[in-house]
Amino acid sequence: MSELLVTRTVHINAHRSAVWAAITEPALVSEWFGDTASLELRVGAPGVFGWDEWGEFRIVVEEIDEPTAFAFRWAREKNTDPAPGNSTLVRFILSEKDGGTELTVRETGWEEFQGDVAANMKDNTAGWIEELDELVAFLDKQDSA
Amino acid sequence: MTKSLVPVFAALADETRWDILTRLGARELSASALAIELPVTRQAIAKHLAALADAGLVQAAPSGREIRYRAIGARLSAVAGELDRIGAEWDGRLARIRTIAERL
Repeated sequence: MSELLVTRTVHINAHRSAVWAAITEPALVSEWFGDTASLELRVGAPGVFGWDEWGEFRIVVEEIDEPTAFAFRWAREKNTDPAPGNSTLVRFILSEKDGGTELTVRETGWEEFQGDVAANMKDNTAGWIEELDELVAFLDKQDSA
Repeated sequence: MTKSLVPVFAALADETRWDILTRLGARELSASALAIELPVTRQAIAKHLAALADAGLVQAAPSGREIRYRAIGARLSAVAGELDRIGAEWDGRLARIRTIAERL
């Protein structure tokens, strides 16, 4: 079957080690993903991403291949250990390109969702939309400055 | 994710259901006709069709003495739309990662 997949790529004018730090160091992760982050760079290590408004969502590190690949399974249900059925797999791929770094993200696992996850995911989604709105406002401000 | 799409994702998780849906997307078929085309019993086909119908992905259409099934595109479009929206969220997060990395 063709996999349900969300994938996006961005070019970054920075060395791959900087991009690696931005996606793996908890203090930096919490700047783009939620409000708090605890994360340990060990395959199988549990971690938590927290949103002041939406609560805490657990992850498990699935892959570490510094500086080319980093993946974690992300529970979409609050305060629950991630497992197939309540989570998606987020995988980052970093490659050197044009003197900078090409960063690709692939999110998979949508086919495995069970119905009872829906209510919490709705909360979570609302959080994302809000963050995106804030980001757009921020970028607009930069453009007009 | 829109709550109503969760059963759609679950319905698409099975390879046989995906095969059935692909075939019904090409033309209307009865459960018996699907059982001939796919290496699955007619009983299993009926079960998969019920799951697909519950998710709003197929619709039964009486045709003479048999019941044929057709795929409903709108639900699949909704799935595509949902994945697009999730992708847009990643655009936002990647933009922030870029800002952070370029500042380091």
